Amino acid sequence: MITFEKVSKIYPHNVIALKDINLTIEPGELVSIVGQSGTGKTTLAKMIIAEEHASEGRVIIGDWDITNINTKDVPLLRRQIGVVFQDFKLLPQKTLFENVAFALEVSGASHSKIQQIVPQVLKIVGLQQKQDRFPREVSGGEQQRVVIARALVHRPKILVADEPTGNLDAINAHEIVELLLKINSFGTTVVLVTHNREIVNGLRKRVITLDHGHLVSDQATGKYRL
Amino acid sequence: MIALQTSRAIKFAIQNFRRNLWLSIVTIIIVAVAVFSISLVSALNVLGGRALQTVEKKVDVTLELKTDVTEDQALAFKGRLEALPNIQSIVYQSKTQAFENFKQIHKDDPNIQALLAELTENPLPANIIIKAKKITDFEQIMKFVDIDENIKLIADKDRDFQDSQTVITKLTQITDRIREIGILVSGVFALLSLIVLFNTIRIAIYTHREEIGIMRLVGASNGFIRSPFIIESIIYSIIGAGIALAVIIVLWQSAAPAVYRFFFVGTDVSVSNILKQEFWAILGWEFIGAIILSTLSAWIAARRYLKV
Repeated sequence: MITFEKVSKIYPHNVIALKDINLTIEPGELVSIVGQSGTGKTTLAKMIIAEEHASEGRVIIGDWDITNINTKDVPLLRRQIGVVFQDFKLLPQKTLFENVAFALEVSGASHSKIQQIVPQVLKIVGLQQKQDRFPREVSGGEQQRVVIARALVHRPKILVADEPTGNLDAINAHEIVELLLKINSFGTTVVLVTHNREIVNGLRKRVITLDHGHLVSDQATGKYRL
Repeated sequence: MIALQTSRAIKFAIQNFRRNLWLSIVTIIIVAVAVFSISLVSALNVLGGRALQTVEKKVDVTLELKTDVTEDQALAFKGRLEALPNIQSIVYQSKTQAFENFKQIHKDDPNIQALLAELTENPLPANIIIKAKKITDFEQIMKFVDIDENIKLIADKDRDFQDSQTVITKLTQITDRIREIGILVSGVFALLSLIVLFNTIRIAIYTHREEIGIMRLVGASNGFIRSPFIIESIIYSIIGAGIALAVIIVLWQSAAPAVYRFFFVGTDVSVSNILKQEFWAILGWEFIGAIILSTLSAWIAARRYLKV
């Protein structure tokens, strides 16, 4: 469960990114966070992985209050939450397999565990046949699927996807959303930050709408309203 | 787990090293130049010190005893001198020994041999040859020699040591000055290399900022992110210091004859041996120094990219 209690984020020069956000996301939910650019969607996503810290209020993941999380505990948190970004963040000099394996290597997984898990997650995202290619040798949609595979290697309970379809055409975007739904069906909580109207409307899942840092709507089966 | 993490850190470090080969080469050259400069100054210091020691060892004072001094008196005098704390060695040469030595030294000179053959009695006095622990000790020893009980036995004092002392005082001043300048120059080079090394490692880390960002996102600990850079720096240091030391050894060996002529002519000092004796100390200190400096640089440079 993800809980935001009266969370505000105020940047220097009194720039308000988020104001008094109260929000609970239950385990296994798929929630879309929508809003125009600069409304605080990404700030909210970054707070879940402790890349940003709340100026006021509390952020709780499961039983863990991460509002003032200790620096050394951040890696532990991030191994429990998968993250997907718009700009992929793949290492160009590593193959798709190596990019996915990288997440396990840095957390100290054994060679045999890597050899076991990486093919599994590559199969989930449908890239088993292309595992030896480099990122530049596959399409944008496939690159994003690699990122999702990498986010899944730690078998996270939560997957945060910040504009995962932002750089993709409609067909690739659709494939990514299908993949997120598949992951959600395994029981993983998915937080999807997007401003893609078609995707949100097609999902028919919970939609939280932000506007100028305020939570203006929270619908169980919502539509893109802005 | 630790072994696995370490082996991965080494793997990443070697990958970084190879993938940024030019940057690696430049860094190694900078480390090599810094270590070389510091070594050169240290080598001059070592040579200066050895030259001074050699001169000091060569200085002795010969006390010629009066002809009427008996051997018992001479040995008693020798015993009194031996009791002094600052005596390095003391040799008594009887009249006969002095004469034999003289003959031996000049055995190839027919003129002197002819002259000696004509002598009816031994003209050489018995003597005592004193070596002090330090050149500055002679002053005190000579004061002791000058007291009545001793001076009455002595016909002549070879005052060469006074000239030697002047030379040595000058040499000491020069070596002290070399040492001071050496420390200053070494310090400046160490500081410069620290700054350049720091900057180079920062550039190396900057080129990996994307990778660092991804490492952080997928849950790598700061220690794990930092360790490849530190290992990479240690690789730079070891190769850089190794190159510098290799150059120093080649230079030292090829310059040894010239150095011998300049500093140690007429002595049994082997310039090559000095390097052998000092080599491990030089090697140890420079490697340790280079590794500490580069690790420190990498540690500080990586900090900026490790803020969560």
